Amino acid sequence: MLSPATSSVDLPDRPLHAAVRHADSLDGSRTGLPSGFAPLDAELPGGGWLLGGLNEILLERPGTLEWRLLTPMLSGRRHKPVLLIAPPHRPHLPGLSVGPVLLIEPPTAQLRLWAIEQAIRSGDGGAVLAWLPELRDAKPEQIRRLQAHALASSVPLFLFRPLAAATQSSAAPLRMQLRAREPWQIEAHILKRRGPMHEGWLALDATPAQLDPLLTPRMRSARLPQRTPVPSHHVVARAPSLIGH
Amino acid sequence: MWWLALQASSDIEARACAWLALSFSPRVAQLEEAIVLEAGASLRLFGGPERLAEKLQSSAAEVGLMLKISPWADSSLAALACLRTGSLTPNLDALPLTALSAVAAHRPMLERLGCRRLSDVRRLPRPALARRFGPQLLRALDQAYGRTPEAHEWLDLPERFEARLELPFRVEQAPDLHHHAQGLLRQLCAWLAARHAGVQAFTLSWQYDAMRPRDSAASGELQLHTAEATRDFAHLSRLLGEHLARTELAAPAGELMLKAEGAIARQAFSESLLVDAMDGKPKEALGLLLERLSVRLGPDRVRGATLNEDHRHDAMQAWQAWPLSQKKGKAPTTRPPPGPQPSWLLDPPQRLSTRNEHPLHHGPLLRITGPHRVEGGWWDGAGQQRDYYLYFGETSGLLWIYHERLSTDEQGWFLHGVFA
Repeated sequence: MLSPATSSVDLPDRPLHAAVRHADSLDGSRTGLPSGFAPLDAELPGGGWLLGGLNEILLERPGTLEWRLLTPMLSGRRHKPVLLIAPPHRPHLPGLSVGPVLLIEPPTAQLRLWAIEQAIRSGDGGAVLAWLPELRDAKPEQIRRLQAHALASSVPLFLFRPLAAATQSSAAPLRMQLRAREPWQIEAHILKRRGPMHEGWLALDATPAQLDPLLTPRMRSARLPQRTPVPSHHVVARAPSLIGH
Repeated sequence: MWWLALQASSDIEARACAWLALSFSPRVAQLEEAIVLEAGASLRLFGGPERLAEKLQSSAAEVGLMLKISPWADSSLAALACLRTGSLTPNLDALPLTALSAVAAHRPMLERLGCRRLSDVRRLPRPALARRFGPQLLRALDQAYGRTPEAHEWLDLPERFEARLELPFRVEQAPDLHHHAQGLLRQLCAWLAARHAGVQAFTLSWQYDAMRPRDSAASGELQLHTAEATRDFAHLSRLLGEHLARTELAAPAGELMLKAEGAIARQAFSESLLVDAMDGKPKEALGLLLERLSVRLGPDRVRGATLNEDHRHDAMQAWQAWPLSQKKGKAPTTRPPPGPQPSWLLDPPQRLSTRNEHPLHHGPLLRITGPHRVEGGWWDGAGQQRDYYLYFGETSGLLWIYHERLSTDEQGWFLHGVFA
């Protein structure tokens, strides 16, 4: 990971301590869990999702993109159950290609944080996915507390928070914003990572596996009309809606 | 002969200590204030004397007992003498007169004769010693030095576990019982360790004080169940704490009782050989975590699902409180349902507003494919005839929206799922 050619400072030839890195290189001191998206793995420190820390994902609306992002990773960890804490909707198992799913629905926000903390501390299970859909659900110091417990964990931990949380500081070592401008792609922007600033949006091809066999090439090129003022957009946009009439 | 003497910090724990020792050797006896253990026959099994002592200490720590352990000695009296004086080597000659009770009884006279240590007593002429102090002193000395055999009444393990504790004062709040119940739990765990078993259900009951309101019962009880047979003291104690926090006492309690219903034999918890990818074992097994969560949050707040074969989306899975009841025989394998299945399901479906006969959800939507007709359920009165469409919205993602077919009262568009 150390490439003297890209650095302006002369560094000694001997290898640096594993925890020391160039400011413009990714932290490679520990290996991550491959996310299943090659462009994303290339941008994540350790080549994948963070283990031993919180992965914080910011979404405009909860319950829109989570499974498309995580299914490639989760489908490789089927032997252990996935814990869902306070999910926005009920998971539909026939549509998920992951291991067993356990649903934990704490009645209050305080108990929700407690349950997340206990799940992180236990360190068992295939993954922990927790939703804190409102900004007031967790204060920065509460996130810090969760992160402190997460340091000792070897289970991938994901916190889904609202977009408004992007303006707040957070102790999570990896923060990512997600959006979908097109039906079959999700776009990711890394807000914080152990490495240089990330600029722009990564386009990840994420067609839900359930829909893959149904789609015709014409549906795959469907766009929302307003956002992409391509001259031919009338043809492209109308064509799919003709199906079914 | 390989003897160890053990001493627990209190009398209540002495019983637990004896039971714990029974899991290492059947030759365990009570000798004055300590428990003595002869382990000559089990040394090889446990990998030598040092390893056995370490294992004993660590299994005591697991149960939450603080044990004082003597060094290995050739006789039980010697082990006890070392335990009393805190000596690290079983060198009896150097120990003071107080180390053996039979010698300590004659201490003033022996000291006047100039004896300070046991070696001084041994140097005195035997016939005169026997005449002057009686035969007990000589016998104790000979037994301690291994010259005369010792006789012990071996302790054995009760078949059923029942322990009782008179509280030092009246307890009015149920959570305060937790502290006192821990001593009983330690005994239970030691008993289970000696039986090489785990427990799945136990009952903590308490007697109310005699000065209680007339309308309250004489006793109360709390039944606890664990999903898997366990003898993990920390887990049982946390579980008991969670339950006690939700219990109210009708009157001050004066006496506690702990009963275990049946121990489950050992093979139930062999340790896993699979090491987790990163760093070994999890700190708390998933089952224990879920158990604690369902006690604190309520049983129907922690759920798992079973699959059913059905065409209707909302009938494909049944969510039940964890742990799922195991059906007899082989679990039926369900075939994957026909047609695309969303990853989230809204329950109940959400009615969408429309504009020009098109559904809206946080902005305009783009129809991608449809209709996919789902028809079924006429057999149980919840018949459906729905046409499902796939829509895409910029902030709402890929939506699974249906339109009720042939229904006059339920016209309109409904959001039923998300391909998230």
